[in-house]
Amino acid sequence: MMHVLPFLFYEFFFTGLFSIGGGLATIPFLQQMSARHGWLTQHELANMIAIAETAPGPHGTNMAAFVGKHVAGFPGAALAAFALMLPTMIIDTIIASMLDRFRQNRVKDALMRVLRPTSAGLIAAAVVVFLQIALASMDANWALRNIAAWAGYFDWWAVGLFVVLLALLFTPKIKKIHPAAFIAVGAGAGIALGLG
Amino acid sequence: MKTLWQLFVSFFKVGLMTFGGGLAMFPMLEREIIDRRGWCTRDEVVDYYAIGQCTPGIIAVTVSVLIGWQQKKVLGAVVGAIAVALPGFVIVLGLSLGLSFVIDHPIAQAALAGMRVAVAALVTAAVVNIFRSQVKHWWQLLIAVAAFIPVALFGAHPAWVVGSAALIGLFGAWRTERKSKEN
Repeated sequence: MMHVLPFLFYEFFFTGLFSIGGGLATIPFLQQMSARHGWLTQHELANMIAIAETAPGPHGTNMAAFVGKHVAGFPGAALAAFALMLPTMIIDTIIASMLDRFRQNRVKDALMRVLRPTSAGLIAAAVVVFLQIALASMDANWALRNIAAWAGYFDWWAVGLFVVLLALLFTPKIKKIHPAAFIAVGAGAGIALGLG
Repeated sequence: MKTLWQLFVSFFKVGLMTFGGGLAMFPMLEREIIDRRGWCTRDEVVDYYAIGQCTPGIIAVTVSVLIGWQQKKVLGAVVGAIAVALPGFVIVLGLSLGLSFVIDHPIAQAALAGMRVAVAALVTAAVVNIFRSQVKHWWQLLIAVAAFIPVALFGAHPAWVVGSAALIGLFGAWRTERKSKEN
């Protein structure tokens, strides 16, 4: 078992260094390393992704923990998750210290003036994916070409629940309730309505 | 020491209550880090998401490292990153030990479907709040829409969009500098 640990570290450090833009971007790397070392079959990978996305927290480290556990038990899980985070920790520590140094800098300010609305647009784009997964079974490309067939792809109970929860999130006082409470209400409503 | 412990507790809570990855973390950060602890502003967190989308690694970890560094430098960055990943790590290990039949049960699947709807509502509300605070002029709306379309409709990678936006920002800065020198 011990001899695979250096490979695990290398593979997940490499993945952390070259996957840009979040946990899902690591999936192609996981597929490649599994094929190269024979760590997981395609079927096991699919199951692994489902479990990692069900669990709370960052998907990337969840998947790394699962693969590491599968390959080399608990030490493998801890090493894989840590190796995945290490490049981010190093690079973003450098970025943070630069941000600090350029706190009062005209170039940085000009950059941030453009980057903030860009980031807002990108977060909105990611929300579209959340809506697709939660409310309807269709992807954006398909939806653009088949506007007439939209209605059949929505889970209308889910849409109804979404509208109610969203209205509550904009109601004074109620919107101050902790977000975790909304998720708990969602779980209860999901069971009551028989979603899924 | 006290701040480090608070960092650990706050990020552990954020990690435990985030369902759906990096972006779904925003409402939890808003509550725990911005409102409750006052460690940073919403503007700063939006900046960190921009950085997270164009730098290597997982966005949730990037954001935790940047906020942790603000509080306690390198130690804070390490504690923030580990604390946010820890709850999921423990739960994944539990599920991989054969507890996965629990989430295959129809009742659990219905609960998870309901939770996905709640997360979708939370992130939608968060996006509305972000637009309210970030998009006040027509040119800001233009930039936001220009970033939204290629990613949401054509599957472009966000890193390209952030990279292009950074170039535009630098060009704008260069032009302003030149103008101020001419005058």
